[in-house]
Amino acid sequence: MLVWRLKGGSRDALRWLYEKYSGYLVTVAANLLRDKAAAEDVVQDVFVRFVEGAAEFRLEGSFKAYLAICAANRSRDVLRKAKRQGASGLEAAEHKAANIEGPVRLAERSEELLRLERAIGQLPDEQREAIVLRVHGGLKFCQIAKCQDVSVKTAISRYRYGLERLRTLLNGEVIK
Amino acid sequence: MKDAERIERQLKMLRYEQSEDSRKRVLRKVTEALERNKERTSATRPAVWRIIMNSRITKLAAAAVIIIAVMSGVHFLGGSIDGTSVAWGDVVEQINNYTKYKYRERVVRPKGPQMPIMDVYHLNLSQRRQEVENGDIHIIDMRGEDAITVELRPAARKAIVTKLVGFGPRKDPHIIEMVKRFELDSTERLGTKERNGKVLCGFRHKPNEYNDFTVWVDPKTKLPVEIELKHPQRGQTIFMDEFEYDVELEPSAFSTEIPDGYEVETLTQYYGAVEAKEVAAEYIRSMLNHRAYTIEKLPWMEKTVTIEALDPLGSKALVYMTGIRSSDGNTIIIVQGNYYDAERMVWIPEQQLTLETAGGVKLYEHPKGSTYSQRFLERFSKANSEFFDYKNLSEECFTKMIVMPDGTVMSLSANRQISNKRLQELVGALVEIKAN
Repeated sequence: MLVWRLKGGSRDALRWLYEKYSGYLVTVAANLLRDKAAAEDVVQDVFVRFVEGAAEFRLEGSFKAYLAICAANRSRDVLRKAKRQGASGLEAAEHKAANIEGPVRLAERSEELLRLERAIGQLPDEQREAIVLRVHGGLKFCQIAKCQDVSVKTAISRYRYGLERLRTLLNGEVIK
Repeated sequence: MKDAERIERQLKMLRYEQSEDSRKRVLRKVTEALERNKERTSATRPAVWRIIMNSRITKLAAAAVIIIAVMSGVHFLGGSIDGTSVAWGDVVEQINNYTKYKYRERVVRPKGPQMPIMDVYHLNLSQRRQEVENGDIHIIDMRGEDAITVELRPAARKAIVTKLVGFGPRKDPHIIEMVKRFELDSTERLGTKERNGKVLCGFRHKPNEYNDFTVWVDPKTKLPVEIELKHPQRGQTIFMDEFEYDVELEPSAFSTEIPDGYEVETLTQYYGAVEAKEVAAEYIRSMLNHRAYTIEKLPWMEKTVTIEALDPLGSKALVYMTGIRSSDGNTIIIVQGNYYDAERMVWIPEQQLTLETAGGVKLYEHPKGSTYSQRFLERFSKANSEFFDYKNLSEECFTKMIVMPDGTVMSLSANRQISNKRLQELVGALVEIKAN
């Protein structure tokens, strides 16, 4: 309904969709990029491109998943560009990203979560993407596979190997 | 598999929040894109609308569609025509209109020490004042790079000032800020309840296994009247009520300056990376607010090293770990820090007493001794892997708590078990580091 109203140019519908999904998309993009500022830009790109193409947009499946996939695609572009340029900006931002606002005092970002954050940054891009899309994006493996242009089996493998690697990076210590 | 599930649960807690400025900025940009798009498409739209509206029948049909659309929109947004319910999005928008408010907060715990009731005042998004029923006053200021909290105890003329290095500047991560971030699709509507003659609308949001929020809103004001936050893991519930919004507040009441005549204790917490370093005994004495201790060399001690590092138990404070390598290959760590005192660690006397020396030093069991010893040994190993290699961690590792007669507390962790005789020798060898 809201997507339909947005296609009709409704600012209220746009605002509602934005309020509903921007936080979710920032979490997905920030976990992919390890840089909150870059993540916010990605979210802006996703919504702007959606708005510009809304008239031709045909929703098939979950709108939320669609947005997450758009954010992942855009984040991949940002990472590729950063690597071509030497990637110093994003990697240098990793330490700062570890200190950005996250789970707040009463749901506190503990020492364990900081280590987990650093460990995620050390995963290969495709494994991190599979994990973020699954855990934060809530996507099914078939959706992740489509997003990464690989088979479902490969998407599942990337996810499982990514978790295994996280476990190893954290010294096999189970986080309680 | 269980490890994978636990890691997945922890991954879900890695959420990031947009700042208010960023949120508004991006929304503005996206809205501008929408308007540009509308201008582009309206230029090419045929004038069909005018033709349709010239017919009386289509005018009535169009009017009906508009009314139905409006009603559907209101229903979809969660509001009702008669105003007895409220949309969560409207509540968030309304809360965002206020940066000054007050409420009463009480924490209920089924067991353990109870916390006093507080009246909490927010001057703005980064400054808070808490007036505790026992007369204490807390000031929290997060405007600077290093946040500051002041705990004033007028009855004892004592002040505890805590500097949180690298914590700010930020918005106070208090409950109202968390409530503002509830996502629409994961906020459950609870229906209504009556309180003091008002019908309140309820919302519930459970972001993770550690936090379970219930918010009761006055549909007329669209503002929270009661908030309840359950911490199932800690077994406690925080209740907030008696909300007043847009209250008159005196900025000087939020000053972190200490009144004259107060004894001041200063603590520091670190919210960034801290590099561990080897330190001398005199240095520990200068860093602690209470007595500092070193250990006299005993015949079975091969080597001792003292390291300053960030507390691996998450207190954000620095701790001083004296590592002792014994001749039988064991590694023992004695830990001291500013939070290690009997006044703060009130739970220790409830633990099992392992031994008491003739000099009055007591050694107690620790309820999470194995886990905590692993953390201390790991932290020490990272600072000095030649002294102790974490690969040699033993299943026997344990922690005990040392309470000195003056109330200073230290922890004693070891990689392998130690006989009571040797424990007795160890705690008997602790001597105060005195000024030169």
